[in-house]
Amino acid sequence: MRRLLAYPLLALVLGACVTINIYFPAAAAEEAARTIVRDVLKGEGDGEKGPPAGQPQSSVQPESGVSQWLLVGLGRTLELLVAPAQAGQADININTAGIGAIRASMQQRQSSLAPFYRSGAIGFDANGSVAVRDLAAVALGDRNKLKKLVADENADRADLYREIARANGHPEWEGDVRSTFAKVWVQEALSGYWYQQGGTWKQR
Amino acid sequence: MVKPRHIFPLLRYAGSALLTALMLVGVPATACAGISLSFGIDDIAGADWNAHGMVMDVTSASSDNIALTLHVASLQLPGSTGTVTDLQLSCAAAVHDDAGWHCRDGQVNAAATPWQPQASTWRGDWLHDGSLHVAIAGLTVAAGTLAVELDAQGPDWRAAVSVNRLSVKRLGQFDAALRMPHGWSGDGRVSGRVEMRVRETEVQQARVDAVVDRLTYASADGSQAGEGIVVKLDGTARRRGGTWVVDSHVRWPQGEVYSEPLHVDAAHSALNIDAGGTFDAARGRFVFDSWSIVLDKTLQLTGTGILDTAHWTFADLTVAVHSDDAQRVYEVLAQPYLLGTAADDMQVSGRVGFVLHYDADGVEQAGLELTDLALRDNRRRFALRRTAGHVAWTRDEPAPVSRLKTEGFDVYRIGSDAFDVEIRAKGDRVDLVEPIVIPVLGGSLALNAFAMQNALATDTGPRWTASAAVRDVSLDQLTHALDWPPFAGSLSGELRDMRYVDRVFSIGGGLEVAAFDGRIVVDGLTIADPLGRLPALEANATLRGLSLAAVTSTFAFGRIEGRLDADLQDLRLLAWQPEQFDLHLYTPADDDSRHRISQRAVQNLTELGSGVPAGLSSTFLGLFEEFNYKAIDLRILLRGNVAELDGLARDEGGYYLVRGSGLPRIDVIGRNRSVAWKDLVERLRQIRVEGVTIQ
Repeated sequence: MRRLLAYPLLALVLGACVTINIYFPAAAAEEAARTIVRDVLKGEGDGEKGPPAGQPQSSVQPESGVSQWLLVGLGRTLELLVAPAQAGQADININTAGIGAIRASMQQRQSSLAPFYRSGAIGFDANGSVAVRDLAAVALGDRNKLKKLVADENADRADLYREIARANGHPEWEGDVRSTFAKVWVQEALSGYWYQQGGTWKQR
Repeated sequence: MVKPRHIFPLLRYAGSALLTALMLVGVPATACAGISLSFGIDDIAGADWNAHGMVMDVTSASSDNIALTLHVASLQLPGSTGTVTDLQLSCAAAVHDDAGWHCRDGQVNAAATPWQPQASTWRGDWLHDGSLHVAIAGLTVAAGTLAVELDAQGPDWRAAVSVNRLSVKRLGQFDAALRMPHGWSGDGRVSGRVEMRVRETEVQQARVDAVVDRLTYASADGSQAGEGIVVKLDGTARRRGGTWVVDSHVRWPQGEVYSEPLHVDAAHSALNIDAGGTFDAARGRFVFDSWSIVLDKTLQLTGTGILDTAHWTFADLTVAVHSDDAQRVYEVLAQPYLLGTAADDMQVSGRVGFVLHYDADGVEQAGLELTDLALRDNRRRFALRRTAGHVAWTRDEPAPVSRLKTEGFDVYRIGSDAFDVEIRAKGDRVDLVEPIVIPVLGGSLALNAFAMQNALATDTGPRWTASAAVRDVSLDQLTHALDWPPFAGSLSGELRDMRYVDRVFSIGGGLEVAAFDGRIVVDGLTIADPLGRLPALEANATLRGLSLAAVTSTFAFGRIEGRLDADLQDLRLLAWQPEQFDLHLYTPADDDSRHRISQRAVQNLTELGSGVPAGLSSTFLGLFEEFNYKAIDLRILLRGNVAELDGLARDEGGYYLVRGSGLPRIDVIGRNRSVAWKDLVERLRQIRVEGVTIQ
């Protein structure tokens, strides 16, 4: 029996094409995002802790003509071997000079933005950016000042999402990073802040 | 819509009817006092109005005094203005004298009007020379009052309407043209007088003198708003042949306006507009003989132009702008449009002038005159020192030569001295007329060619190419400007293919520099968004045959003799801070020069590799000033905030940073392979040689 299995197994190991999909480490990204968001909002938020990631970190897709049970068994074996290695890669690195510079810039701007958040003039949109919600709530002479603050903040946020993806070796994750932040900004929004959800504005 | 051409004939008709009745009835009354007459007309209709149920009552008390009342059951006003019901014009005592008939205490009452019930007074004169004068005062309209005067003599008549504090908001209820756009809110008050002189049915002259105050408005999205606005306007229009000669003035002394993205507060910059010209209704043209717009303390615009009133576009327009306060112009008119760009936060000084000619195909030519213009980025990324000259631009050939003289510029901490430049600007291109030499850092940057395209594109931004040569730039000044450890010597090189495309600056063909008796070649240099918020520099470099004696004599590291090669791969600076690189410094295999390293250099290298001082001076090795070495090898791999250190392989563990030779032999062995980048930088900063701290 052992010899019977040995040849197909050998053939499989030699000939199988194994595709390993590395998924965006959602939980780690959310934790990193929460760290940054709380830091920017001066840690006053009472947001919930990040929920666990809903997707597996890897999957294995062997391709071969051997019997189903052998495929399943080998696949699970490979998955066991691969998963620990990828768990080690799931940390999100946010400690680079570039990200640090962006965070410092956002922190510095927050005190200027805060009154506009609280007045409802601006809020967090569903795309991880800041959006003008009610320009009429702003004195005429302050409207351009607010628009500059928002433009600068959104430029920083765009840079932040791009740099986090790039610093972690996956520029293609930028969209996922942005989505993660979009969720966390809303979760961590301070009392009185406005945010967009389902196309409508809501107040925390 | 109610227009004066509707209202005045109606009033004239009403007044005439009343006083004609007075004449018809009153004249016989001179012969028969104490008579009463009453007659009625069912309907009278004009072109776009009609009256129903008219009854005239006349009572003659004496030959020179009668009482009369005109009652109209309903009066349909022109257009969609509405209906007046139970209108009653009465005169309790119409008096006759040598001049004619006069009524001094007439009453006007209406149970319902499109505005509100009316109860006011009127007076009128019907003179023997055929002239008619009617004045109605105290009509209440749109929360204000309205008075009407009518004078007629033969074919000529004059009509005037005076209004006092009419509500802008309520006026909008009467006519769509006066209504604010949907979703807008606001109110204000209108006072003033409109006067017209008419012959037959043709208006010969019109005059408007009005004040709008307490004007406040806001669009739903906040992109348009005004608060506390006071606007005064006056104008006249006189018919001359088939055209109108128009003269108008607008004064805006109070209030503020936000029209995204512009914000103007009249308290800081009152606005005055004067315009005069000729309106040819048949040709649909308004020819401005002159116009001027003065934004107080900011700028003055003057010009002429032809407005196509059929399409509300300028067929021809000449504009001349002048400002003695470039900072104010920047703040009010330029900065709002530059938000989010590198130029959105600057200090500007000097004077600017601007001329522009626009024709049916668009802007045909423009010119900019600069007098002592200087600008400085508040984030200290760039600056242009005092600059004077003019820039001329044309849409078509030939492109004129523009000349500018500047005291220099700064890009980050690198500044130039004064230089002159000549350019040609045409369409969306700017070209250098002749090569220029820009004095910079003790040497020069010879700009041999420069061409910019898409200079006017706001979405992609400009793109330019250039080739230049760097000559004898002082490394001492350069390193000082960059806040690097001081290097001696000079830098020369060719920058053959510089490009700025899609906000990325690049140098193609490599940058080759002779320095430290060796050769440095920089490849693949790109800087994304160089003046943006997060500039990203990427480059590779190879250093060959550098004299360590020359390097260490300026680097204050401790003396080392020998040659050094280096490979710098994947360098990436983000916001000018190292984000990643792979640096390998090593002694070339074929280097047969003398290899000596000072005790201080050994100590510094040891400290760099381990983080602790070598303490050589406390051992017998402290007796030796220098040591022989076989090879130096240091590899730093930076990724994020962690640097991986390595050197020559060592079987016993660790790695050689310096492999010694001869006697006394000294090896510098690194043990730490991973170090926080900030710690490594701190170690570099803490290196002390002969009392000097490297900053």
